[in-house]
Amino acid sequence: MPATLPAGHRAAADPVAIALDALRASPAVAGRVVHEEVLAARPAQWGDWPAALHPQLTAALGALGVQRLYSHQAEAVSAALAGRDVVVVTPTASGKSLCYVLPVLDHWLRDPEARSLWLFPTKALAQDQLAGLQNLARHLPPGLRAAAYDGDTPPGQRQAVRQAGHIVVTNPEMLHTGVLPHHTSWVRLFQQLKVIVIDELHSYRGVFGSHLANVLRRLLRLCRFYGSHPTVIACSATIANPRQLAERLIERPVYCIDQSGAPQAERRLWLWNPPLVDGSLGVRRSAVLEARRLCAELLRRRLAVIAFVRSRSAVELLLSYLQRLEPGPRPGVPGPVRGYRSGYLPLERRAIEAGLRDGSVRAVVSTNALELGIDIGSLDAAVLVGYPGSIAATWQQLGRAGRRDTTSLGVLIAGDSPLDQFLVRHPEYLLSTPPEEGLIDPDNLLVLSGHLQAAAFELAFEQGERFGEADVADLLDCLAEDGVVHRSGTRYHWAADAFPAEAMSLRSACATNVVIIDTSTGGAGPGQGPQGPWAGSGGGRPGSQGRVIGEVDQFAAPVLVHDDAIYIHEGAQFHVERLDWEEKRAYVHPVAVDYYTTAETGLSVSVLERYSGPLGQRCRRSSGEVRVTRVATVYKKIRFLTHETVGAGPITLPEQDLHTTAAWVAFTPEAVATLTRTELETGLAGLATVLHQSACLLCMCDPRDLGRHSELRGHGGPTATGPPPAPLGDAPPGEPLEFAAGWRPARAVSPPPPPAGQPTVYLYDSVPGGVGFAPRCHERHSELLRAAAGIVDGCACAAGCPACTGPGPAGLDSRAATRRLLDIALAEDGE
Amino acid sequence: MTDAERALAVADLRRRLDRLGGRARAASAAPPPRPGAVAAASMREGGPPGSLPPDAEGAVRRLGFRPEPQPQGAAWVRRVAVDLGPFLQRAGAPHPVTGGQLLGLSHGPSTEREPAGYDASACAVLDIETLGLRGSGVVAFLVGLGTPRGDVLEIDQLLLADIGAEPALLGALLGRLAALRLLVTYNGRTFDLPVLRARCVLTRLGGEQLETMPHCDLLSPVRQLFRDRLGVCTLRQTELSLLGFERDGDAPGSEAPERYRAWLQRGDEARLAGVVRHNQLDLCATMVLAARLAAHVEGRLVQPVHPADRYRLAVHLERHGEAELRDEVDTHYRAALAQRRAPWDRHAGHRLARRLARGGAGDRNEAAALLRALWGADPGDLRAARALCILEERRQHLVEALAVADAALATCHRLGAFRLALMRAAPPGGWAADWERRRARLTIRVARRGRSDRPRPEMGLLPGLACATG
Repeated sequence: MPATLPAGHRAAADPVAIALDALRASPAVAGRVVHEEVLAARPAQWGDWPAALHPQLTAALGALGVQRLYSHQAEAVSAALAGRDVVVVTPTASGKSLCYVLPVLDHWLRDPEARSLWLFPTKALAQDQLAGLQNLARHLPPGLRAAAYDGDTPPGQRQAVRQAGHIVVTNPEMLHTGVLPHHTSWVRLFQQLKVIVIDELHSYRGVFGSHLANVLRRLLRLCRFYGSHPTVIACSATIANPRQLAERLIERPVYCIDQSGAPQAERRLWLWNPPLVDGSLGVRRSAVLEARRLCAELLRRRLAVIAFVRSRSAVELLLSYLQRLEPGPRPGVPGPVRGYRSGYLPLERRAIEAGLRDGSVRAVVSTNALELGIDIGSLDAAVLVGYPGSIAATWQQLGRAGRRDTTSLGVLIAGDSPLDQFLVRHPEYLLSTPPEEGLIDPDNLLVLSGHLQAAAFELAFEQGERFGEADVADLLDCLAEDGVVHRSGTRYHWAADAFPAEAMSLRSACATNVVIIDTSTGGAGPGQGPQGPWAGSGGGRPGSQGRVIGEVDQFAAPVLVHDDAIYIHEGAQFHVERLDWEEKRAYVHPVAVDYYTTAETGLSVSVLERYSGPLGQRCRRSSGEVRVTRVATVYKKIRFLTHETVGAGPITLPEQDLHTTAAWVAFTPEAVATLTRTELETGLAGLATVLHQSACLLCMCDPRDLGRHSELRGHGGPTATGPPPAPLGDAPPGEPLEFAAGWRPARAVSPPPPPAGQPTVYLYDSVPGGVGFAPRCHERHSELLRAAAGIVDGCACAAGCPACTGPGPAGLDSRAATRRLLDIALAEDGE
Repeated sequence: MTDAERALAVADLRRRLDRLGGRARAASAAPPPRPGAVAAASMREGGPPGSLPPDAEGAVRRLGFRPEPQPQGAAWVRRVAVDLGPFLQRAGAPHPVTGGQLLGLSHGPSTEREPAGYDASACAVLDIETLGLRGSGVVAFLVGLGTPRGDVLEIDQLLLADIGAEPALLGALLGRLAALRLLVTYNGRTFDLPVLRARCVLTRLGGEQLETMPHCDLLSPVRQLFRDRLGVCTLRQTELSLLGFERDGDAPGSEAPERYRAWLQRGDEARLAGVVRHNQLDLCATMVLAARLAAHVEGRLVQPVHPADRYRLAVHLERHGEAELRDEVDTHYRAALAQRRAPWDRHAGHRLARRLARGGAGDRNEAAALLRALWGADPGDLRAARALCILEERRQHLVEALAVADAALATCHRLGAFRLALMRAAPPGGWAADWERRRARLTIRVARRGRSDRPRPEMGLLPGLACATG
């Protein structure tokens, strides 16, 4: 729905502006805001009314007080009505939904059998959009049936939605496992599908986007079978390449609209750098503690605030701090400060969303789960605790504040990490650089193979048929050899008894979550459990029946719910009695202790196959496929508020393997002969840090999408578990990377491994099979090195700090050590 | 690209997939394909869909299948007649089932038709063997259809000898269905029929009759009548427990996908033969089960009679029976009560009392006595007390009703909140509050009535009624 902001409001009259002015001048803020930017109010741009729009829609909009459309809305509606695939790229709260709601309703008014399918990345968003649609539908002829179809839809309603839903609102997961594999129950939808809506397009990046592209290949393939030709309307927050991303996703030309006509009230942006605790080491006060300080001030001034933190445990940490300031009416009953993250049950989340809208919740601490456009009404301030990892996410999160016609505040509190520090020192990067590109690789072999199986399950493949743009003849033959599909005549039929869609998770490589079960029975609520850290005996037995309080994904489980971890949920602490790794269950009971736990993980990388390289003599760089083995090793108990370590213990859990693409640099022993072992170790770690940082900037990717690792005795060649070393062969430099080019056959001959035990720095895609970041790092090696040198040289610290190479061991200059390794690499590069 | 290059490319892909951990698996328990198997399989390929190379055709013929021309190609049909007589005898249901009985067993909107014209020979039992269990991609590779002719079951099995020949198989099936009026299945409502319908959609053959034609799924009456005795209501379990026979050397249904893949990949006819036999046994067992169920609901109970049987049968008849079965229902409830086997005697007592309470004065007297006996045998049975209280109040025996409320409230206090909370069928707000309300209302009514209410003589217990406490 369009925001109805008056174009020329006066900031002076607005109470939020007055409160912010006062806060800015107060000692609580003094010295911490290193940059303030005022984003001026912007008037509305209006567009021509789309001539083709059904008159009843015009009337219905008029009844809602919409006499004109913003320019981007008018353009999008006209293009969609003309049958063009459209992507609309405008900021939060610019009335994007109208861009697809109008064409969809127009189709329905002209043909009551017309159907449309709306895709939102999360279930919560779907519910929210449906509520918005009701407003408009009230002014239209009766009979429009719009419904959500997701995991929360009661079984009794599902059949009605399948048969009669004009607008089916769902998410990629449900489309993937609940709709496409059961398409024969959805015949009417597929036969009459006119419009596919993909909202929050920018969230389909990396592995999720690669999966979605394949889900869409399957969807469009079924549409062809049932004889429909739907138009695609996509909406996105601002990213650098919306059109390219949309075209990669749907594999058709897309018309891009990126000029917003929506008005915008004044917004203030503060970049907040916590004070230094230890100047020489560059250690700053914790961003979470700073957030506590700022949020307390905002709450005291009666401003509604949302705080975004980076991790689920940080949600609970900040939440427990703020709940102490604003407690609930009685223990166990939530007050005006709530948490919001994955792992909370759906009803709990709906209640929090409703509370935000009606004002009973005045502060929410969230992970990026609330980043997407769920309507949570008007908030006055958004506080970002740490850089969210991408510019797009930063603006998206900042956009959660300031939906109404008053001034709003966005604060980015920098953490210790190099990227955070870089940003507060270079605000122009945040303010001027176009946000990241959405990179996807629909032809990632693992992703493609999984979806090809699902597609074959849904509909037999004809020989020579392409899967979207991908040529899948070889892959089909491969599946036929495995007995998964069976070729008969010119067709490949599904021949396995598995349900392939379920074997694949769209968001991560793991399909199973660990369920967290509270074993305490008899109503022992949070905070009333046995006291002390080892009070395990009082809280019920592992294996006894308990209440499921949430879940965590398999990769996060070793870090969050290992044995003896303190798991925090909605501000309440739970002691993990036992993590049953086989059964994927964690048994917990409530406790009240004054510490939380963090886990440390160990990493090792082994190279499986080299696609390119090694290039260079003394500093040899390569790219290829690797196995990354991660294991959680120890955990530490950290006391609240003081953040001191009060204890530790081992974690004994199986290793987790990640097969992915990587780029790596190995130094020959001669090249680093002048460095001591400690210097080398420190330098490698520093080099990994700065290369990772510059890679995130160059590839414009989220730091979490790219892993880094350094090893003193890195195995630059295939290991015992990999294929045997191939005979000597030559790998001409500059040959196109096999992975990036799709899944064409690799060269049969791999170059020999370098002697084992070379000092090596790896950058790897943190997604199985990779989505193409590491090969790009390999391609853009020179730029990467120069950017890294810039970071090392530009830092003002004495001997390495978290903002550059990271602090080294006592008495060692980490920056200097890193610089020496960089010099070797740069010298090689210059030759 | 030459064949050799192509083979290399495929081998390379496989290697990469293996390494990424993305190797596809046909089934978790499937043995790896034998070396050379693929070559053999691809040698068989190449003909137009629906036709088979000579060796495969020979194997299919040896299994007893013959080609049947269809517009979409040849369908492979195996026709066999099985005398069910001995099985029916053994199951204690010597008479083959009639169309009317089948209609009586089934319920639901699609079968509410007049029984006239439902000749048994217009009914057929249907069972399919599939690859997989869920979704539109589940292929039915063997469809069995059996029509009863007296004691003999005439079976047609349609085999998907070549996975590409599905339209011919479905065409042959739809042709047969056109001549039928009623389908009998075991769990067909949620499995067999939706799977076949999905295949018809995929092959653009329609198949609407699979959704619209009358259908008797025996799973629901089996669940209603025998869930206490069977636990898991699989067809295999009903055979053991209700029909008195056990299969010898049967290929388990769970092996069907793997066996069919062995046929597709290696032409393994021996393994496929096991599935064909399994399907045939399923059809026979389903038909015998239908006769057994029909006899059961007509009062010839499965022997030996399980304590739950009479109670469950009475519930079944009460739910689906006509008005003329009224006496029969009561008789079964009384018999279940007389058996004195917990918990079914108490359940039967409750239901019987509820039926009697709707009747005339005599029935209501009996209902009150019955409820009093149930409550007397177990003072914690507050449902019996509530039913008694309501009945007495309706009969205008306000003093008795108040006495019941008093006693029940005392029981509530004695039991304590914790045990009350654990009790089944507690009214909203809890038992104690419910009784408080009831007693308050009755107190007022009794006071209003004043002394006009005459005390009633104490009701005697029914002879022989002493409920086992549950």
